[in-house]
Amino acid sequence: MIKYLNFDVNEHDIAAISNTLYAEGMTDGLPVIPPTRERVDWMLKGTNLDPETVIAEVGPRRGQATVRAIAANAVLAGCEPEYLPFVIAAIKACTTGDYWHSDRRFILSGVVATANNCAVATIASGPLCEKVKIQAGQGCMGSGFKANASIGRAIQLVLRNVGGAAPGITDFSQVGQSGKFSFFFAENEADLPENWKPFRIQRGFDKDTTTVTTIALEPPYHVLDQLSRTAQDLALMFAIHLARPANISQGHPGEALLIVGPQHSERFARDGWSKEDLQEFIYHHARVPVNLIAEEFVYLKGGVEIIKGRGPLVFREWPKWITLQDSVPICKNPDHVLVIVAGGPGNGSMVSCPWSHSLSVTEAVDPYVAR
Amino acid sequence: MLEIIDPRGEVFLESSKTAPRLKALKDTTVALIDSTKPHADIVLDEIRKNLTEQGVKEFITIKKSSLSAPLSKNLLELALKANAAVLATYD
Repeated sequence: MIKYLNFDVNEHDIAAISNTLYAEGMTDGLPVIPPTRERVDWMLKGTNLDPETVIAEVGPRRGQATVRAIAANAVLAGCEPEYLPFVIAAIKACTTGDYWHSDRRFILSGVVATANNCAVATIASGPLCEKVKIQAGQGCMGSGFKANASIGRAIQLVLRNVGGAAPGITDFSQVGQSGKFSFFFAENEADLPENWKPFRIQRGFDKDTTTVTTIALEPPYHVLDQLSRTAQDLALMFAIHLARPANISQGHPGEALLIVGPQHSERFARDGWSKEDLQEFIYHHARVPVNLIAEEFVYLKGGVEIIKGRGPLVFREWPKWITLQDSVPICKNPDHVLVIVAGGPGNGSMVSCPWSHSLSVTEAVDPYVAR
Repeated sequence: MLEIIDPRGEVFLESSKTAPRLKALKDTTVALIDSTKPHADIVLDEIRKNLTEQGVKEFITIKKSSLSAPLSKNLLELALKANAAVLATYD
């Protein structure tokens, strides 16, 4: 069943339409394209799925994300039909495990509701990215690329409209972040060093499949390194940037994301480092001395031995042997260090940690593509 | 006139009402639910003391498996044995 909404506004007056839909809480504050029946039907040409197919129940509102509802948001965001499968796959990924239905857990309701300033970031990997012109190189996380901007925006609008994410109502992010407008880019496979596997292959998909991975990401920060001449020095620079007490302050190890610039990845590869070598190194070296965080947060497992003052918060998921003299890793294992090559020339990379209760989820795009 | 397809999607949940407020606390049982958020337990300890002074007879202490997980069915059933529940959700 198609549900229509009618507004007393000139259908040709885009500014008035945007203001009307903004007043209804259906936009992110920027102008939108109205999802008329004609435009939504056009958008649906991007997939063979029945428009009534429910892709996910999107929390915290628990709205039904039908293919048609997702297409309506893709129209609002300014997408082309060939972008729609990416939006559908991302919505599937970021709802996998909400309400703890799955071990692969992307806790969307928590990601939306938390005071943390994380946003749902989506990273594409695979042959379709080039076909639909998703930027993976220079400036891929910035503005100026229609596919990146509108696919990322459509994902956020689905979270807003179907999932009910609204600042101050269900979304308690303290200051938010610009990623809540749009946060979508692709892995730069063209500049991937020869012995580095594309991310989707690390996630168990084959080379010919295109995937999206959703991550509840804090705003990434720049790692400038023009001086390191060895892979180890450079990896240490990444580790230092990632080893922040805040990453594990809730007692939860989460994931770490390294968005490695092509010049940096080339430097690793030149010294014979694989992606897995880098993951292993970060796991062992991005560690936080327990005494740095003990005063506020750390209690030994079981809450039996309170290090200082405010017990008993259990320092979860770390072994009992941890003492004040130890350092703790920011991730549970090397697989939770995610390495993506992206961006263009330059001596920088980006790192970030996701909201630690949620884990990234990868979903294939191909099943949603029109054939 | 503008006609658009509703981008919000249907919701098939029934809305629920909050339980009526207890008329008195004397001789009641209260469930204290710890979300496991930092310091939730400290808040609940203070609430327990306060409610004890107000005549609450028994407390059912419940700790969630994780702050981001819903209350499990078993723990929910346990909480339903109480006349009222207090959930500490925040730092």
